[in-house]
Amino acid sequence: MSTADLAAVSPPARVGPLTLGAAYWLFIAAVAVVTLFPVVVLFVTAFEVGTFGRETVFGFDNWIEPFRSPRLLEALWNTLTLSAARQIIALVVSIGLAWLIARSNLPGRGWLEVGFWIAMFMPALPVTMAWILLAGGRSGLINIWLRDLSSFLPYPLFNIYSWGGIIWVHLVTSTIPIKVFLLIPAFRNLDASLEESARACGSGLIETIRRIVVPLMVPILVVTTLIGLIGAMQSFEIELILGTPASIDVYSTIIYSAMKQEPPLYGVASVLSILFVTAILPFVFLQKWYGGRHTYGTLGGRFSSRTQDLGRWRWPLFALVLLLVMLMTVVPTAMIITGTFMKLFGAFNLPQPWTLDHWHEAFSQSELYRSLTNTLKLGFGAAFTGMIVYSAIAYITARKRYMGGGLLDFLTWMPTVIPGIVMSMGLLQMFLQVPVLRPIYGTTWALILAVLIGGMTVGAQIIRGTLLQLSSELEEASWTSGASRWRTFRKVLLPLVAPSVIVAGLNIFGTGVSVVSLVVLLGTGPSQPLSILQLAYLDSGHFEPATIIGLFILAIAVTAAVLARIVSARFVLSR
Amino acid sequence: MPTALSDTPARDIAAGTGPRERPAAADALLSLRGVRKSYGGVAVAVEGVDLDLAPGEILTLLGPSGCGKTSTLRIAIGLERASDGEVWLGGQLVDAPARRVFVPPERRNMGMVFQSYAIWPHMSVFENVAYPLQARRRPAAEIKADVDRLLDMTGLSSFADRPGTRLSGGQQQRVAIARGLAAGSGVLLMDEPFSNLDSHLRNHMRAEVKLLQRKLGIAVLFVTHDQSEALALSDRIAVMRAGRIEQIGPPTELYNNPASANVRDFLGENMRLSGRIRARGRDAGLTVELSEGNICLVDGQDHTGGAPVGSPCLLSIRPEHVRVEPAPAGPHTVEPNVVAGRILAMLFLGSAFEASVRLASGAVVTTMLGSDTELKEGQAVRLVLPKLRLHAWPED
Repeated sequence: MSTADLAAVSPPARVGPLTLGAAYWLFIAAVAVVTLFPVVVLFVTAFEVGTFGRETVFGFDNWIEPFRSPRLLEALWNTLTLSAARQIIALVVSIGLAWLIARSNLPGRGWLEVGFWIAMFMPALPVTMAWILLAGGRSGLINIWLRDLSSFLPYPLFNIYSWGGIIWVHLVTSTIPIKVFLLIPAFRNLDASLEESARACGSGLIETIRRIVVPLMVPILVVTTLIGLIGAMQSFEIELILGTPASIDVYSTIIYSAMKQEPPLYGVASVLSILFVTAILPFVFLQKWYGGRHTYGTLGGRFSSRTQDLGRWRWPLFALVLLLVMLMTVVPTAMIITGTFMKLFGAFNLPQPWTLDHWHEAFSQSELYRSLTNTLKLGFGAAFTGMIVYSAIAYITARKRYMGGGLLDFLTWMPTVIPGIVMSMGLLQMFLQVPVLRPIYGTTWALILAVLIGGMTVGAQIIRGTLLQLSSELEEASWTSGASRWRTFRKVLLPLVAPSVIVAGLNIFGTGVSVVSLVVLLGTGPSQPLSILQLAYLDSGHFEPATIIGLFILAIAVTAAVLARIVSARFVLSR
Repeated sequence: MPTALSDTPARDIAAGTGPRERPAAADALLSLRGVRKSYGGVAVAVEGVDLDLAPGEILTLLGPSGCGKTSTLRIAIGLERASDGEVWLGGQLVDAPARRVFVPPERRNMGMVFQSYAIWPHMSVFENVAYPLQARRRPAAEIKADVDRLLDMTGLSSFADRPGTRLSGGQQQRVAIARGLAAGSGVLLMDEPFSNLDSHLRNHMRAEVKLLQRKLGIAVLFVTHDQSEALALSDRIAVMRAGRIEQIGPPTELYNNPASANVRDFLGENMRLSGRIRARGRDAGLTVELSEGNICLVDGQDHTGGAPVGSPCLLSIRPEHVRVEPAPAGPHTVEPNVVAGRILAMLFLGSAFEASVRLASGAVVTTMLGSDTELKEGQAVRLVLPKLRLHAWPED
């Protein structure tokens, strides 16, 4: 190690190559276009009067039409009440569940957590069908059992085609699992000595949770509720299947029906979409404002994470949580499998209800194979491109040293604000009206782009979270060790973020497989994926083939969920 | 030697025909000339720093947080670009915005130890240390031999296969140093490397780093805000404040002859007494009347800048230079350079006592007493202030 070696300063590379800078801004511009353009197109379409495809003029006619019908106000009211009701129920239930899993000595809490994780990945449509089998009016299996059990109970007791039914299916497919998943880390980071000192002061367990734990968690509870509310108002497919027979309209289904009319009322749908986004915006600002003012209410630093003893409630609570996890995962899966063997969907009281015909029929049709191929193409395509694009976004927004990071961060939040059905509508307009993009329309690439945009917020956040935990000195140490930027990326950064990139990829894969609202207006014809084929069958009353397709979607999505869980549990860096 | 330096023809620099002067110190490994750093043209972190790192020396940048010491270090290795000025590395220009020259850190061949250690968690200790050598595409056998030698030197041989994260703080520190040595041939940059260690380990690592540096003869540019660390470790210290170097020199010189009140207060303890200039000697020396009424002759440094007789001033003396004696029995006598007081409290530090003494004026000063002292708390004492150790300063 002689000092003479110093003279051998290696030859320098060109400083800040122009091409790299240009590529960087091109990337940001591309993200800006695909996230903002659909919104711009919506505004343009909203003022185009006339039948789509023919000569159109600019005017305000589209803005008058929807206000004539009382359906609009009713739908708005339904959207709000349905969203608020399930957020409130889910909040109460999830606080209890997250606390039990994170802070108590509940038996098997690790496995129960995995159960909620899988429940989060359960696709909405197949689960909806399972609940139709269980509680679909007179033919619902539970209702039939209850009638056989006791003649005093009203029959049918449960009707899934109702306001309460929609809420129930939402709760078990997404609202509760997502909340549990978001709250568990926050509860884990809570200092146990705070609970312990409260209990030492003579306060009971429930009292401690109510008066100590919950108040400390208010900021994260408010933020998750607002995010949940924004998401809830955008929901689409469950309302379409369960609400339509009961004439319960929500905003997204009204937009859908305007689009599905012949000829499609694009202008009116655009106006409705703009109104919808405007209605959601206050909640988005509220969430950003509140989240910015309150740091997540966990007290970092040194804390003890001892668990609380549940005493004699331990096993009863275990049974209760296990029942809930079963209702979310195993029961729907079993029902769908059952449904595929039924002669007539939901007709359990036929003398000979079972048949293999639907399976034979499904496999004899090329439609299933084609849609399956499309779905896999969509899933893998979105996962692969998503891993690259989201990594780039996450890196730029996590490392403060790059200009334009703030803008990009803002852009990644756009898709969360804009409901899937509206984004689908905006993308459709974009593909039809921008000549350069027209060749993409009708191909799987259009769907991949839609899924990429829709999953952008979550995907980029998963990777960004890991990057924020990694000190930038880890990279700098590589540079000062004489490694090039490329080598640093390959040898230091990539191995450290790879697990979370894979989790993000599996997440987007799961979305791609089960997504409906984002692609419903794009995935027609030869590019139709399984989820849209299933919706088409359901819409036209062909429940039996729809269950078989639902089973496929379920299997693929749950596989992705399990893989993501394994990867994140084993490889993602924990603090 | 490959010499193509970005936009500037390298021959100009090598031949010394460039527009600017060559670095002043010909044998300096690393030279900073007029380096400035501003962020977005507004906030200025570094305000014109000149620095030469000589072979085999430990040079410390010392200052409070936000004084620009870490920015200076990061500019030296190329993690940040200077806004203005020049950085020379072994006679070669590596950063000069005016000439559009910038050599990125991976081509500067200096080692760096980071504050967080930055040990890569997915690699073993061996792989961490081998990384800089692999990046330079050295043959595997050579890498193995070099890494083994470095691990041996830093006492890590038995941890070679451990994952980087399964180490104690002190061990991670050693890995970071070994890796820095592997990367840098001759120059090691250290950014507050001991700030995450407990005080016991910090003292230990301090000695170890100096021993290692003396053994290898490498040059170290060290950044810290801890004055005792700087005094113990450095061959030279550069005290920084507000983006500038206030004084640079050997620790003893800075300690004994601080050039400014800031350097005086930043390095070590001071006993400060306020007074008024009563007379000014012909060649040197001042006569100062303290607020206590005592007269002091001052023969140390005079920083008052020839302030006229009658103007207020401040006297400073290092606590260890103050002689503390029991007050003599009998009537109170007034002598020059002696102040009366009473011990309020004594703190036993192991090797010595630190005593808080209240003076007649009510001011409380800190002095040092030997561990074998017979003085007690509450006892009346007199403080003898040797005139050569007293320095005069303008009033704060």
